[in-house]
Amino acid sequence: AKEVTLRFAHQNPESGLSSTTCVAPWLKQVEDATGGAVKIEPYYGETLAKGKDMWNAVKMGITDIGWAFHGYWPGMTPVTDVISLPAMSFETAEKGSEVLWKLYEKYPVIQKEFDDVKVLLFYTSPPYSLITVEKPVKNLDDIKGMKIRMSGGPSTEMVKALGAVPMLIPMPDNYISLQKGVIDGMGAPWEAIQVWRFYEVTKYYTEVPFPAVYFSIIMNKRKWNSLDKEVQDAIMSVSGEAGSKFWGKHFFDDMRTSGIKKVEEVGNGNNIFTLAPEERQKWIDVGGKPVWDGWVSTMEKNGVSNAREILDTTIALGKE
Amino acid sequence: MSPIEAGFLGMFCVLVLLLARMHIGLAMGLIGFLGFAYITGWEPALGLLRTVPYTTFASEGLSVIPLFILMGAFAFEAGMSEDLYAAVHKIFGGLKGGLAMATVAACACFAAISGSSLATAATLGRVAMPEMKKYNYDLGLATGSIAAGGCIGILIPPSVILIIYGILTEQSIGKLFMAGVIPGILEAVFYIITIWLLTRRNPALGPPGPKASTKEKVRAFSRTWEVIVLFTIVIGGLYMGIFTPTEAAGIGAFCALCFAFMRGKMKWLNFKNSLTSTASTTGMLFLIIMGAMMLGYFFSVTRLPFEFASMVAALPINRYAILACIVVVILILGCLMDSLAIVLLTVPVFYPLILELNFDPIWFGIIVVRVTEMGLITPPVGLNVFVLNGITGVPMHTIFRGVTPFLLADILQLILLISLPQISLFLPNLMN
Amino acid sequence: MPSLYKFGNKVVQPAVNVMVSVAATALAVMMFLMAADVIFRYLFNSPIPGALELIEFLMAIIVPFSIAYCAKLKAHVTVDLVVERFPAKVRSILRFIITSISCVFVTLICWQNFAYIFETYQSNLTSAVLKIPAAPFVAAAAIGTAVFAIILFIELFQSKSKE
Ligand code: NA
Ligand code: NA
Repeated sequence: AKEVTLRFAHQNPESGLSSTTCVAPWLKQVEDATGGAVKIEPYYGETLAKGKDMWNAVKMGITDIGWAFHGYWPGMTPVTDVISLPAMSFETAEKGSEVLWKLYEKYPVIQKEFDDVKVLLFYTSPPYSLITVEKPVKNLDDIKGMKIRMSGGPSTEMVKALGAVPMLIPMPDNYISLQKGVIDGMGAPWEAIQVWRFYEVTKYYTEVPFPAVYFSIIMNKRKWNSLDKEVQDAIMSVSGEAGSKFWGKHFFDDMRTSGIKKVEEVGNGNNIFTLAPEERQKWIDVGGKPVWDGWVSTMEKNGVSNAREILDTTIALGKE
Repeated sequence: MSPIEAGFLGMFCVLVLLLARMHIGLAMGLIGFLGFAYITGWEPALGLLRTVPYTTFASEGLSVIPLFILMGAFAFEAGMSEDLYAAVHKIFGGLKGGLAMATVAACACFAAISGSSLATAATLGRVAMPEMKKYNYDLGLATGSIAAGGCIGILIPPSVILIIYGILTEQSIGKLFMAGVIPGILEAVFYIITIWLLTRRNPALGPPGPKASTKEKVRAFSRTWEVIVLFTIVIGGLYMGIFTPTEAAGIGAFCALCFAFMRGKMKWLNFKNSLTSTASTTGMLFLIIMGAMMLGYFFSVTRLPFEFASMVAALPINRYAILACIVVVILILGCLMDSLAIVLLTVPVFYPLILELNFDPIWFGIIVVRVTEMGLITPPVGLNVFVLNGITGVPMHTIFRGVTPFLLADILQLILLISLPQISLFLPNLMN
Repeated sequence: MPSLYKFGNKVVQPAVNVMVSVAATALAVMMFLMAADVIFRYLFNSPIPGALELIEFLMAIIVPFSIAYCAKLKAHVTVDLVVERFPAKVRSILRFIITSISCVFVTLICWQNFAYIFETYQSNLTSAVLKIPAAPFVAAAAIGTAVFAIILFIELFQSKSKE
């Protein structure tokens, strides 16, 4: 078969941790699976398209394949947002990624939101951990009035419901904001705690029912359709559910151990907490369920009559 | 034609369009668009026209550019530049060539509140030129010291060019600003020494002005406190990590406006003028940035920067020899283009190479800015010279003659900055 | 032809005047917003919600309108070095060609931006905190480039003596 070269655009730099542990190995998997019929030319560090422009860059073919963070586009994939509601039932990114892929396969209303592109895989972060600078958070009273950086959307509403003040700060400014006390804490996955060195400026870590965020690896439709059936199948053999789980695990879950190790190295190893079961349920009742209901009623108003069922399925799949 | 050949051809076409008087931003954008279409097809290229303008305009990170320009505009309308000049004038005035030295020193001070070299040269051109004419200064020395001194505007922070460099390379703008402080002061010192040497050899170039008493000096300096406060807030805030660059710019502009009000210099008309002149500069800069972004994506897709970097880095020659070549290329471009365009055009190409060669990226930013500064006063296209010609009416060739000794000083300072990276890196390294 | 140039200017000038006023106002608002955000955060411990996205939207208005204003002022930098050695006839032909190319290119950008308004509107893209729709701000970019294209088009009819 003739050899095809595909452009792959990614926001993060080539030297980044996730680029070496997840992105590059997956690109290699694609090349190997197609038996050399596909060659991938990676463009790291926004050299071909800005992270914010990725959706359009893929849609119009500026890049053939692109890494998409859906937090950039509020309002564009509202049904898929179900996976980023607070207090979901999955505990790892691998599980969350698997759930999202299954939801996508099951519900045409989610597929429709991705009509403009060919979805190769989805992945999610694990539920964010709460990291704080000065005060440990073990119950709802502790978090009252704290200024907490979140990433917009449902997470903002949850923080409000919990009685804290949500803050929106660009990622690169968070280190200084934590250090200078501009914020008291933030929601972050262990990957970010390690990559952005937050462990240097925060003391306390609590596993709480915060929401996760989600990503997709998407491909230009015309380019996809131009590929031979065997090549398509070969690409999907390392994408789809398997690929989703691979990204979730290697982009996020693998960083948990090394992140905790960093925290231990600076002497805060004893400051990693988990909420007691009844306390956790309180957080879900106060900060989770109202946001779920808000999402369901908004979706139903927009004509998604099975919104409640989608939510229940998500929770059920996460527990499996 | 291979993609890499297409990349080189694209660069050549940009220069041709430029010489045919096309706007630099449109020339870069057009070649970026056509080149992208050649490699990827029309639809992706049109996609570039769809996404790049809006993303470039609606950028929180780039909002620091109009805000810093606005700060300088308010400071100018408030008459702060005149007071600055009056103050340094009192110190140097009595010396041979003292007024020219005062001009350079005032440029360095004004640089601390102005983000652009053109604005610095234009402002001091209006303020200092009449004084130097009054004392029968040689027109070459007078205009030369303003044109060269104006360059300091983009080395001492705030600096539009350093902001762009930081955004292109994902380096900390705060650190880049810190890195520019000492080289900027050093540049002023080099220029003052140059003037001293020139007037010692030929005193007729710059006759001494009146001497000022200590009391007069103190009084003149007491009128410059606003500038000092502004610089402290902006640069101090960045250094201490209290502000992000955007916040520093917003607060700086706001404080400059407050000072202008307190001085009674901010009438409705002044306010309006500051805003519209900032809008005009903003429009000019962003059209160039937009075009450069498009051209940059074209270069990316040719893989020219990556291949170029690995190819050159593998050559068996000293890395300083490679750096010297980069400097020469930027100098040549500096003869033709304005400094922002040069940075936007060359940094994406050279930056991977600089990393490959293990040079410090912050230090390289200072070197790039120092070299593009020289482009502002080299013929045939020397924007500072054009601006002064516009303001003072002194013929272009006289001004170009006047800046020649300053260019020699530039080369010496550049060699110093390259051989002693600590001059640039001392302050930013203290920040951690 | 020069009369067409005059007529065109008469039509465009008021539009540009409005645009620069809007851009200047947005610029002032952006400065006050930024300052207020910082002051509220440090003194009263409560930042302005959504300041970040408001700044992005303000920039989306300031920049394209400023570009149109700048084009009308002819404040854009060009290089005169080679062209000024050519005879007047060649010079005016060259100017016509370059202005035409520029006009076509800016028109292409404008067309794509209008398509982008539609696309943004359909996709329901909003801002993260205040949920402000993005489409109107894409429209600002489209309008700015449209006026820019018209200014370039009118320049084609500028009399040769005006160079
Ligand atoms: Na400056
Ligand atoms: Na030059």
